[in-house]
Amino acid sequence: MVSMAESFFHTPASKFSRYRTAIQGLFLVAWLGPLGLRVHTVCAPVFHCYACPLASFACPIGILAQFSALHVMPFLAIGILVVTGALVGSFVCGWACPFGLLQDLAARVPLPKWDPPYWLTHMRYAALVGLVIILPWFFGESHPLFFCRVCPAGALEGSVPMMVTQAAAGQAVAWPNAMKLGVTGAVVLAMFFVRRPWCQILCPLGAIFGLFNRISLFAIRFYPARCVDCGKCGAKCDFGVSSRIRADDPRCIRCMECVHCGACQIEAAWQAKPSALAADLGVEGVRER
Amino acid sequence: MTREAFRRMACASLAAIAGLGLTVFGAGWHTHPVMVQKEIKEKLSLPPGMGEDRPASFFSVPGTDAIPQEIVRRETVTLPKSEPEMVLEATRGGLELAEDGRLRLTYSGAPPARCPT
Repeated sequence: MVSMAESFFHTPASKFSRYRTAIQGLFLVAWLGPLGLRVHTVCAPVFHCYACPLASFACPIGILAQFSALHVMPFLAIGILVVTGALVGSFVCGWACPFGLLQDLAARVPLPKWDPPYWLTHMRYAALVGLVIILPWFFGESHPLFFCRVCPAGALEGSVPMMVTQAAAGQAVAWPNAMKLGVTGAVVLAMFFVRRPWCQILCPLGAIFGLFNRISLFAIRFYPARCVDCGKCGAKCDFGVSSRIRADDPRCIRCMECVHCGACQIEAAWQAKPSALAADLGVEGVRER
Repeated sequence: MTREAFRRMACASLAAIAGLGLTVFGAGWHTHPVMVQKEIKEKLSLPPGMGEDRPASFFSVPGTDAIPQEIVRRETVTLPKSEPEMVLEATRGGLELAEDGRLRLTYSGAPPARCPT
């Protein structure tokens, strides 16, 4: 078991997660319409504003908010989110989300990092219920706190390219409102001092996928019998989640940084079985929470 | 397979099937009535003899002597829009909730270039 901990970076998972940034980049290309594809009739399951001049798909959170303002049930957007969540949970956040990639890149700047307290991560649910559903329902999309009006992804992916285009064409630049500028500035600044601040504290899409972590078909599973309590998994996690304690924590984005030792591993639900070692020791083989 | 794994597989399968059902229903069947302002062009037919000896400026386009060949009438009609169409409209701010609770297209003619937010 000790040798397992020593070979922390030599398991298949570690080799796979080494290419995470490249895979995020490939997904980014897909979201940016490499063939000029603009399928804005369908949502992609990632946080990417449809106001971006290159956006291939519609943003699911934007559609939830807009449809809430219109008092119409968005079956298509909800269906896409539920299917994605049921299959992979928050893998999307760690491997496919373009806004997540941006935050990951900003976090590489060597500056001191602050870990937000656990209670602050519940703000995501408040943002989902308050700004995406309740506020648009009662006050419509013209309210200054309507989600799209304060969304930093919309500002960075939609407003900034538009302003650059306007400035380049010699036209008057249409600035976003002060609230949007303030939120965007705060999130961009926080990206350098907090790992994935948007995902941890405010992302409503991450809140949805996080809820699916407990039931998703593909998940991280913890095998207690293989664990030597070295604590490396917890130290590797950007969100302070230890996979050996809470493999299905809603905050987990399944970046797979913590599964290198073999005590935790990525599995489909049908693959989970009590380990032979655990059976020998007479302990529970798989712990899922 | 452990009991937990079975529970997970059952929950995930049910959720995936439900999600798939919602997606198919939304994409294929779900429609919603939307008020659309249509421009209806109608050819103007003048009664016999009226075109030639009309009174000065009676039928003509203001400021000219030309007789209008057609008139454009705006009429609000209610059309069913599919959910994918509504998603597309929502991405460019093309839909709004009217005071009477019905949906209304915010433009007639060319759609807005970008989302108003």
